[in-house]
Amino acid sequence: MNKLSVDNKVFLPQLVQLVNEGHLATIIAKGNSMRPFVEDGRDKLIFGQYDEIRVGDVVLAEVTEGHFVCHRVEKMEKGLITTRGDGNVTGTEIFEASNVRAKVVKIVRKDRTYDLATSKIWKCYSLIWPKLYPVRRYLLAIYRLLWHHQLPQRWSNR
Amino acid sequence: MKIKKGFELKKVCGENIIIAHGVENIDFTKVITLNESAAFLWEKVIDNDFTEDSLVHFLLDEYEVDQTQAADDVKQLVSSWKESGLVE
Repeated sequence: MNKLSVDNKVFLPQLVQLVNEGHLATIIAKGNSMRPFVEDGRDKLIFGQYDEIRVGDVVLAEVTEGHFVCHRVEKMEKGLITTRGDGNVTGTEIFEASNVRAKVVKIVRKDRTYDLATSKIWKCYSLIWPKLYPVRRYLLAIYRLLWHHQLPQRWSNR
Repeated sequence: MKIKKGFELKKVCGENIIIAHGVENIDFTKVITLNESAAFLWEKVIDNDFTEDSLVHFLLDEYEVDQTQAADDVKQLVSSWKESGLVE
């Protein structure tokens, strides 16, 4: 079995088209921006159509043409949506609702499927994790240390 | 034999990918891709009954390949299509 890697810019519009046709579509998660729940290369995201967008949802948005992000909705006001990746400390994305292309409806984490609409574990995590934002930096550092044996960059220069 | 109903060959990002229609969840984490000649054969037989012989015949018509090589390749291809559940 081989691995096929494609550019988001080219692939995601096709994925969105399939979602708009009524399919769900599953891909392997890439990047660290949705840690600690979703891990790069290990977990999967299942996208579906969105009807309503709410704070806490994880949405796929095309913020500029060909540039996609898939992060959690942090705020919705004055017609603008602000998202922030669970694994990001600084950096948010702000865009209009019309930029949203799909919603994450399920996550496969360590081979276990969580339906985001019904999973108690997901709901608890979604309630608590954003509230821990003031200490997110440290929690993520601990996560990286324990699970990835990665020291903070500046330590390795000593 | 023929290709089971509901399978469609779609070009996604330059790759020939088999997508199962009517299936709710299209799983891109496990896709079946076809190379150019396999895709060529797929398109030739998608709506028809076929045999290994007819596939060999198409290959010989289209590509510069000898009979034995074509027959071997077709055998391998059909076997993998069957293994993947694409053919009945």
